[in-house]
Order: sequence, then structure tokens, then C-alpha cells
Amino acid sequence: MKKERNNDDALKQEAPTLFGITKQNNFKVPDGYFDALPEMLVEKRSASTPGVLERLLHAFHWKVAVPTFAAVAVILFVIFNTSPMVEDTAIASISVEEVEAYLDNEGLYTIDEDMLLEALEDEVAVNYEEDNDEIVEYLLENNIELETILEEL
Amino acid sequence: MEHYSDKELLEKFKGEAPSYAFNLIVRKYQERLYWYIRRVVIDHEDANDVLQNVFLKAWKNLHSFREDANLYTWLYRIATNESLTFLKQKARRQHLSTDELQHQLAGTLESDPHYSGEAIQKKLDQAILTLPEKQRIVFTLKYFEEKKYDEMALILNTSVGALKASYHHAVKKIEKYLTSH
Repeated sequence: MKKERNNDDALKQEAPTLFGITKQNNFKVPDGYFDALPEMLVEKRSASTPGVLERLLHAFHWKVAVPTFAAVAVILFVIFNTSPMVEDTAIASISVEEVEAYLDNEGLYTIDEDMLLEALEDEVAVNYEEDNDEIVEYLLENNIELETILEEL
Repeated sequence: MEHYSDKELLEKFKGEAPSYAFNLIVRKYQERLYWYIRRVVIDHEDANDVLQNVFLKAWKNLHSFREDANLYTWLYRIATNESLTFLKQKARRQHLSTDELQHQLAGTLESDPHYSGEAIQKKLDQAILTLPEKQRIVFTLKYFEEKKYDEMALILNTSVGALKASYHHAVKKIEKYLTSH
């Protein structure tokens, strides 16, 4: 009460004209406005009742969101960073003997060397014969005598 | 109607009767919030829109309202933010600054069918509309709503010292307007 009187005294000193004005509400509302407002709000509320997603988002407060995102980040990190290690471990756990046995069984270890050499020789021989014919033709066309060639060699 | 405390209303809202409890909250606070908003936005239709938005926001967010906070203060804070946002949007729609809009609103008091006051009171309301909008909010809360500075500090999220200074400046400007017009 004393504080209020002090405030009034201060206002009287500082703003005597303002202090002299009777404090009253000059604004009005249409008749029955406050009786009708709660009903209007019920209608608006039902039109804008939060959906499932909105309620979930509200429920997803940052106190929940931060640990959830952190957990998801850790899970993703573990998945992406441990997959190659799993493969490496799997390969490392196979012994040399198992690898050799696998290659033997699949026939990958028994390549026939003779067949490979024959194939290469055939290819070289064909090319060599073609080359001789071309050389003879060249010598005949250019009238180069065999003795001249021998001298050059 | 107002025999329930805010704490009881919040318990009811978070319990089995949220709709009923919210209706009681609306009935408890609608008039106080309306008159506050009306003093800021001036026009009845605008005040009605803002008030409905305030309650809709409260409805949507009340379930996450912390019980250690004050419901009354919280509603006033929403009302302040909604009113200021509304004025900014209205000014933008009319390609005006907020000061120009307030000047325009002072002019509408003459023709407003929902406004009646003696000449000196109309002059006071026009003087208030010459204040910068935040100073106007401070003056309205202190002078008309008779809020304490520490309550105002919670509503406006500012210091008591800043509010006292703001109110002091507002009173000086209003007195000057009243004596010079």
C-alpha cells in the first residue's frame, strides 16, 4: 500500500496532467462477445487439433531428440566402420592350406604349360612366315641383289 | 468460475479432462488478455483474431508447459508476442512502418464504434499511440494492467531496471503530449 502511494506521488510530481486523468477503459466489445468466445475457440481448436505427426514432433523435445540423434549417429558409425573389419577378419581366419585346397579343387592351380607354349609357338610361326614373304617381295621389287645384302651384314 | 487455481487447472488439463480444463482457462483469462491485446492492437476485430491465436497457441503448447512457471505470466507473454507480430504483419501489408501504423490507429479512434471516451481520455489513448511499440507495451502493462515490475520482467524477458527506465520515459512523453495538444 505504501509502495503504491509512493508510485502515485511520483506520477503526480512527474506527470500531473496524466495523474489528473481518471483511469478508465474506453474500449468496448460487441454484446455477448465474452460469452461466445469459448465456443468459438472450441470450434477453432477442433479444426486445428494437432495431428499424429505434430504431436510426435511436440513429444520429440530436444531433451529426447539430442540423445536419440546421438544414438543414431553412433549406430551408423559402427555399421559403416566395422563392415570392412568383418570381411578382413573373415579372410584372415582362412588358413593357407584351405586356400590351396580350394584352388586345387577348382582346377585353377593346374594350368597345362605345354599347351600354353604350343599356342604361343603357333602364333609366332604364322607371323614369321608372313614376314618372309613380305621381305622377298620387297627385295624383288627393288632389284636388290642377295650379295649386296650379305655384304651389308 | 475462477475458483480453480492455475495449478489445479493444469493438473486437470494434463489429466483426463484437457478440453474441459482448457475451457476453464479460457474463461478465467479471456477478458484480462483481451483488454491488454486490445490496448496494443486497438481494433476489436484485430484483438479478437490475436486473442484466438493466443489461446490456440496455448492449447497446442500447454502439455509441454513447465509447472514451475506461472501460467498467467506465460499467457501474457504469448499475448505480447502475438500482438507485436500482428502489428508488424499489418504494417507490412499496408506498406507502412510500425510508427506510421500507430499514427493511423490513433486516427481510427475517432470513428471506432467500439470506442467511447471523453476528450481527455481520447487524448491520452492517442498520446500512448505516439510511443515506440515496446515502450507502449511497458506503459500499458504498468499503468492499465497495474503489473509489478518483476512480473513485467518475466513477461517481457527483460530487467526491472530497463523496465523502470522505459516507463519513466513513456510517462514523460505522454505528459508532454497531453500538455502540448
